Amino acid sequence: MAEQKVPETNKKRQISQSYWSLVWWKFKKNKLAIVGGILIILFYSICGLFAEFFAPYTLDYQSDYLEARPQPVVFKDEEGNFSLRPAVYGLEEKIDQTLRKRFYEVNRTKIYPIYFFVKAEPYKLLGFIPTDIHLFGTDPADPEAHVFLFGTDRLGRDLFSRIIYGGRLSLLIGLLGQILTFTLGMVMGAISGYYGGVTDVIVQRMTEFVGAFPDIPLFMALAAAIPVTWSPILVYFMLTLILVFIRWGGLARQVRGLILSLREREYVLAARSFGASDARLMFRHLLPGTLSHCIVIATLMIPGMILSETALSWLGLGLRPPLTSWGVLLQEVSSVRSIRFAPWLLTTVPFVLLAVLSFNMLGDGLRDAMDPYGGR
Amino acid sequence: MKRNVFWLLVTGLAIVATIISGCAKPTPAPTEVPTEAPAEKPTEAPPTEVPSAYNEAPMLADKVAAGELPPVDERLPEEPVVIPVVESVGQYGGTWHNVTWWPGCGNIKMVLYDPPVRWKADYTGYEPGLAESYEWSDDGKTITFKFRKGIKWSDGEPFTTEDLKFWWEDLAQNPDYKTVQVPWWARNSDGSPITMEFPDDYTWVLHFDTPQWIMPYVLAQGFWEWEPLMKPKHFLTQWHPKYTEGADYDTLDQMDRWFETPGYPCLMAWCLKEFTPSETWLFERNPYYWKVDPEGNQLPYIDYVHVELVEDLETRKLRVAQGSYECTFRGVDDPTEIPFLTEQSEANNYRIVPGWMNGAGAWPGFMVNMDYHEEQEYDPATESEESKEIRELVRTREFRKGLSVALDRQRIVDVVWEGIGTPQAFTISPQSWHFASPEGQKVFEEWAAADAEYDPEKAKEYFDSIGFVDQDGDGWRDLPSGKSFTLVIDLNDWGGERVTTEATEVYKKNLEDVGVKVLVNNVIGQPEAATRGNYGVGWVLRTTHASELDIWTYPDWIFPLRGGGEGSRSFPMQGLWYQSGGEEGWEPEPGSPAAKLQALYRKGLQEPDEQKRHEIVWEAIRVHIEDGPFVIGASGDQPMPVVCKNFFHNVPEYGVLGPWAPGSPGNVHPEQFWMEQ
Repeated sequence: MAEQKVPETNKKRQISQSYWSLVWWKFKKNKLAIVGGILIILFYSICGLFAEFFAPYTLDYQSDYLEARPQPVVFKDEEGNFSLRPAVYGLEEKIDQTLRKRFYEVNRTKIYPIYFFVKAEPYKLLGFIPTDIHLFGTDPADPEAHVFLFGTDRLGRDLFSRIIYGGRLSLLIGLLGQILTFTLGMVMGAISGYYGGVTDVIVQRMTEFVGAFPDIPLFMALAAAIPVTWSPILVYFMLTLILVFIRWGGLARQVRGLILSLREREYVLAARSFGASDARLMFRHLLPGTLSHCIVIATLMIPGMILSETALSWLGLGLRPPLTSWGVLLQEVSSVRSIRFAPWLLTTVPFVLLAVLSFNMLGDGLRDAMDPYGGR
Repeated sequence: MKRNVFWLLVTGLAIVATIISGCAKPTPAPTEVPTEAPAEKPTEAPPTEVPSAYNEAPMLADKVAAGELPPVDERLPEEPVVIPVVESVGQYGGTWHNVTWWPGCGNIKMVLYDPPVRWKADYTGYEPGLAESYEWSDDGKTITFKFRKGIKWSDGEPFTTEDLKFWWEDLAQNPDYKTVQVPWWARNSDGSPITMEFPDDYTWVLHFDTPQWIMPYVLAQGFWEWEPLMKPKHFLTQWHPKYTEGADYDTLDQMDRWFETPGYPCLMAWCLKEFTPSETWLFERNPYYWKVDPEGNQLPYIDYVHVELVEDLETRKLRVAQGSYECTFRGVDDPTEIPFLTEQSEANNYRIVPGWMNGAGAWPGFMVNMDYHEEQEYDPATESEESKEIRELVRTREFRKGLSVALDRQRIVDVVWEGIGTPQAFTISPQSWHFASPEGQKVFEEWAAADAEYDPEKAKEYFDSIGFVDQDGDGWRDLPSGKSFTLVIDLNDWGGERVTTEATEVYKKNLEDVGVKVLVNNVIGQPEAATRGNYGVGWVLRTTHASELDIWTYPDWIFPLRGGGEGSRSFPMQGLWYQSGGEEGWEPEPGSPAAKLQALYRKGLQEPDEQKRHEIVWEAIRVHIEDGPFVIGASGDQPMPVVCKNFFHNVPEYGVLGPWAPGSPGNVHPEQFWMEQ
């Protein structure tokens, strides 16, 4: 046993450590997992909770700069001398009549300094605190000034702001969907494993049935069944449910396997012989035993959820404008024309990658940490 | 380097698109086409004793030499039609690769079609085609078509009125054969079929019970009006139960498709030779084609027309940009693709032919529903007060004028058309022959400028003046009775999904700025889209694209004559009333715009003089200006990308592709297009 090797002086403290603090100790050692965790916290607080604060523009803001390129950031003041305050160059519209195309050129004579904690368009923080402070922005007194770090889309909306708002829906669909999957999968798995027999057969065949369908066509069929008259937000929840419906099977299987082995353990038999009810056995004694395993699986499955949303919306089957999600943003760039003339619209991709990667790093770290007694 | 990355992305996208659309079939290999002899050969080659006045294609000369075909003089009619060439007399040979996006290949039919009456190549009116002439009796009730003598089907059988008689008696009026029906224009005022006479092989007489000064022009429209009449009797009788024992109508229906049955005799420059369903068509030159160029060379110049079906827009765009097609007129139909196509033009040896326009008078535009009601089953007894009130509001002139001046048209041009375009009110095509004269031009300009100035303050004034104000203080304007009001915009893909979606987004914001609450209802691909649109159910505005060159043959944009289906515009129920002869729909109230417009159309139909008919159109336009707008137009005409290889010649530098009625590019004589060999 691991404890026996611990030096005498530390023994007392060591023995009193709970399972979860051991997990935390082990987890802390994994640098990648920490980075992933921090990134995820950042993502959820920037996009999920405080999007309005971090985005320089509100969601329905439309500028007169249509499909404008990103503005380069420089450290210069308005006279062109070096300054610690970052600034952006202005943009100027040029129409190429032979090509029949509008372009924006960087106008190096115009420099708009970026201010932090500026008062710009009003919004409600967290949905109820009215304020108008944004993390950064241009001088609100200068109507000409604008800052589009990632450029704008066809309607003149700031892509940087839209990526932040889009992340809210994309990331939440992952989290929300995973919580539902987690619950459904655990319960179904536990029932299936605990009762066995006919119940087991039915539940297992159900998971196989759902799992046997090719993913994308099934998504498409279900998404097509959502009535178009529904408000976008209802569509959003429906989509979450669809994702859950497709994905609970895998988790349920794993839980069933674990329960099958746990239910023959002595402590379970003991509890049963004391007359514990089925529900108590399942939820008090069996499920906690599978929890660590399930958390890992759940974390590793969230990126799949996010990617599914992105893919579905890209195909035009998931979320629809005016909702903004990463998938919707990517759908706007799904033509040859945009890739050729507005490649900055692809900036969404690194954000999707980063979010998915963070979850994977975190999940890997958790997997190792959840088994603190196993040495490697 | 940048370029490489770009192509990598583009290729990647194309692969993804191909996989997604599930048509991961390899691009069809170029069709095997016998190599042509040099074009100079035929002038000396034919070993006939009497030198012919006419020349023919080398591939035909070979067949004549081999005895498979009669000589060219015998194949041409007595007086071949001489077609002027655009730039130069061409060389024979080559395969013209082309593309379509739908299994019915309608855009290709428009290249091939050859009706008895056709649009002039410059769109200024009509001229005889397959028919030599058409004449009216003095009262306009009898129309006599004279066909050209000696025209033959592509298999050498003569084309006579016997074929038309077969169509009329054995197909159109045959109750057992449903595919071919008596066309709408061949009916008397009581709906019964008209009387037709076929006095000799070349004369076709039609007797109507009312004057029909427009009717011959109907046959010139698109490919669909003449197509059902184009029936080779000698070929079809083999499946017709009346002529062949044991034949049945189902087989006849299967075989009676000139664009699907290889070997179907045709009267056009190219006839179908090979067909792979939902993949490719191969059309081969018609050896009996009845047109020649000014030097006596039998047309067409080009040997084969090869068509492939590419449904996915992005894939098609890339194929066009790679120069896969010698010339394509509608392969890409979005003007904002011109920059991309232009960039690739040099590398792929093609040009974008200038002067080809869409002909749009409103692109995008929004129809206003003058017949608003909520339920499809309309019953005045049970109709809600709200529904009645909304209809009253929409029918108030000031409301529509307010909607019109609330629209920021320059913003639409900026968003939808890259800032290149003219903001204007709704009109029909600026190229229309009704506007050709200086007076006509004046009418057009007045119409295009009517209520087209962006002025939100004025919009508010208009709305305030009719009691369309915010009564409950929620920031949105309410109906005069105080009920809250939401303006529904039905968003469809008429004019292209990208265009309508972006335009609706802009207009929604404009309307919200003047206090109108807006709901955008996306009906793209929805089953109820057609019923809602055709009957005017539940929408106040509906996205559209408006263009028409001749308002007499297709009157819908100006005159409300149809409803409940094709032709439904801003007066769906009042149009239905006219169409059904008063049996369905709603009767226009006396003095209402619909009543005025319908009366003007009736007047126009009785008018034999072309010039006077133009004047009636102007009169109707005045109704649109004063009582309108009935369509809120945002932006005017745009160029269309006609992509042709640099070695592809004789494509004129003027054309209109938006309205399908002129059948462009068929009217500019594709038979005289040629390719350098």
